[in-house]
Amino acid sequence: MEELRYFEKIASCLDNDEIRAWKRSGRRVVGTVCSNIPEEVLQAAGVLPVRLRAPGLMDTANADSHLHRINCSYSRAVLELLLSDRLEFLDGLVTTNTCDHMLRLGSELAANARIPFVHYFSMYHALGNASREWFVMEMEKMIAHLEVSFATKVSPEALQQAIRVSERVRSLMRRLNEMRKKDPPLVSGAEYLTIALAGMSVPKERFREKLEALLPALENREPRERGRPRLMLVGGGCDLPGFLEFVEEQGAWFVADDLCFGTRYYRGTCRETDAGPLPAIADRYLSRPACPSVMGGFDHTQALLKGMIRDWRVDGIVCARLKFCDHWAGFTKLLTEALGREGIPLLDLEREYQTSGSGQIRTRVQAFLEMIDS
Amino acid sequence: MMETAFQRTMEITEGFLKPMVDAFREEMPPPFEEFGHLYAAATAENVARYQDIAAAMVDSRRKVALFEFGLVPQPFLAFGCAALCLETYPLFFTRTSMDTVYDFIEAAESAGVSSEICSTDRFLIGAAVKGELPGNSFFVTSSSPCDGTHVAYPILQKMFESPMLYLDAPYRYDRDAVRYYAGQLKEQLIPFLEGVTGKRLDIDLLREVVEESNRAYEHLCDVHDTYKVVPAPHNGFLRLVPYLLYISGAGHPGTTHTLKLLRDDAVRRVKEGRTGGPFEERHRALWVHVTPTFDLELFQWMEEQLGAMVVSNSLSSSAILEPIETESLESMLEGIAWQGLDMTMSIMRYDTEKLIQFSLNTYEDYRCDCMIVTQHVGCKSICGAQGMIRRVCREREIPVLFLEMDYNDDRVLSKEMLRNQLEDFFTTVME
Repeated sequence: MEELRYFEKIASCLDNDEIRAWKRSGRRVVGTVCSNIPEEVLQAAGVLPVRLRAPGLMDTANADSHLHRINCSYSRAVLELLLSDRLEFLDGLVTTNTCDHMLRLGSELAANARIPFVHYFSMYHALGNASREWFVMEMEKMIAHLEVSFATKVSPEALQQAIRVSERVRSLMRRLNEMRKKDPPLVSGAEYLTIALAGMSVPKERFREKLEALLPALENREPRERGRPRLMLVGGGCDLPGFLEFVEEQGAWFVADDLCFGTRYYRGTCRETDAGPLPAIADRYLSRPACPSVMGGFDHTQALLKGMIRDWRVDGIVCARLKFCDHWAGFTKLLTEALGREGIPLLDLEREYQTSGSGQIRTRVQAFLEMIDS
Repeated sequence: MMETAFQRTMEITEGFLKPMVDAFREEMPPPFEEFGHLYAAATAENVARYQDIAAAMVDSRRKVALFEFGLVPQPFLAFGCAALCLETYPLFFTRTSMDTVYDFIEAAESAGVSSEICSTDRFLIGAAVKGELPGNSFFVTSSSPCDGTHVAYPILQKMFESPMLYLDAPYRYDRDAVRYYAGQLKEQLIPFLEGVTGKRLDIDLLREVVEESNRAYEHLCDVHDTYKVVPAPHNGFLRLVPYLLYISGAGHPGTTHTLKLLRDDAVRRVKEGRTGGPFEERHRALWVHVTPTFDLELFQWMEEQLGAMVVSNSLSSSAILEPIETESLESMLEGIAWQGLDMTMSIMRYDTEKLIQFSLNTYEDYRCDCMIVTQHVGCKSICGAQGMIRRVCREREIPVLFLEMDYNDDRVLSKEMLRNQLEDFFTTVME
């Protein structure tokens, strides 16, 4: 589809024309490694946040000598980008402690990056009032670091403006997500992920313009094959539209997802309150489906997922989790049991970060789809 | 098949450990005869802790607190609970019944727990599956030290249907972090304990427990200080005991008493200049992360065959700060928060640079000449630190051995293969 070309081009690489144009205008770009890092704060500092991905990276030989083979392939891929000089366009990095892999990745990035701003954002790991307080304190620390490093000022007004811009984007992405409720969905899972990834790699205003132009074209699209099984994709470190396409080619549609590179990134609404912009930002992050690394978050996440399963009329779940990711391994066990009690099947697919498809995956997906059909 | 809760634990406690106490007292085998009373005291203290848990299981006025690294026993003791630090529970079995370890690990995997998750957590889930975890209990866990913890406790909660409290352990190491954690102890842990035990917090009782733990802490610091003397006054096995005693029983008078025995013996040996032996100390190793728990005689073998003394490890060396200030509830909770965060395996939440600096400080304090670093196959954290540790050791010319193994499960790296690697290291690199 012609209107999707822009998004496909952006999603297919890490650096892109929009980033280069941003840099040419004298502005800074900061890479982030997790969807729990509040981008509104970076935007308010006049910085372009770019979620780090490694499209096309085939080898992590350099990173493998720093991290361990039992560290996940996403963390090794990001480190490889740095060690092979593919992050030269960045002016900064924000790392975090989502999990043990990311904690150690963060230290390696800090030790090896030759860029002026490397910030460690310490993430909460249990839901509750305390974590909200911690999240706000961490944002304040990040603001202080940004202001010193980039000789800038992050004002409440700038934060409110960043929230407004992000809210407009989220509103459009919700509209896009609604299109997946139809049968057949107006946008495939692979297409949705492509668009979602583009939104993490370009200035938000630019993304909004492009998305506003795209949505009518998608809404008026010719319907495609009806009656295919409707799947939801969950899992960690999944940013390959090719993987979704591979599964969909077996005769299904991904009509919903809870990927941190996908719907979860755009989920929730930031409601401004008298408490100020930072608590409002924190509340949105805390209200989303919790990353499996957050303790005590399963029931909250499960309830949100069940709502999506109902509203998007999902027939089955595919969990594409990275090998050696303990969090998703544990979460998948709990989710399999919880959904199994309601007759919703789950396919647990362990994969490496760069795996878009394989004979084994094809066989397992086909068997899963046959089971749903029967 | 579900078994009677805590049955295997008590069978081993009564049938194996208790007789062992007498054996250590009466006929300690050579060349450790003069240490027999210390082995006996440490084992007796262990027996007392497990007997206390068994008693609390059937006492309607008490509860069993199942807690993990990230917390220490004092708050639970102040509510009259018996306390079991679950991360030390596999250790009880790896030293007494490996068949039980295999059984529990396999039970967890059969229940759908990934084999890539830390064996400590698989063991605990397996113990729950098999019905071994003590009843009349509740869980309190924090979000450190690792991913395995994050996975295990939500599963345990679903399986066990016991009350569970999750606390957010901050992945920073400053005063703000300690206050943040202490705030949760006050706002969440105390109301939770009041709810599950049906008792109100008695601040005087908490103070009493904390003061008792402070006395134990003083002995712990003293005895660790003696290990800095060359050669060290106690053998490797005994050197692990004080820390484990403290983490499991801080606040119990029995723990204080046992630590005092260990302390008095070590101090006397230093004063008398009798710190050497029974084997010549040719190398002083810092063991980073957890030592293998399934090879009970490893340290003796290392000392006897290789002249290599493990003088410290990265857990026990963390007892370096002040005792807990008992002036107010807040000061006590801050002290408890600090001990939970920075004196236990929660130090694995440190960024790699800080983790290495911490190890380097220990290396120097204890006058070590080499490092042994566990690469526990379930621990993405210590494995992920390998590259930076290797670079730092190379820069500082510190000989280092990385041992890839599972510290609970000898099916990953057997006792023999483990010893082969140690022997190769000490007879080549260290000679």
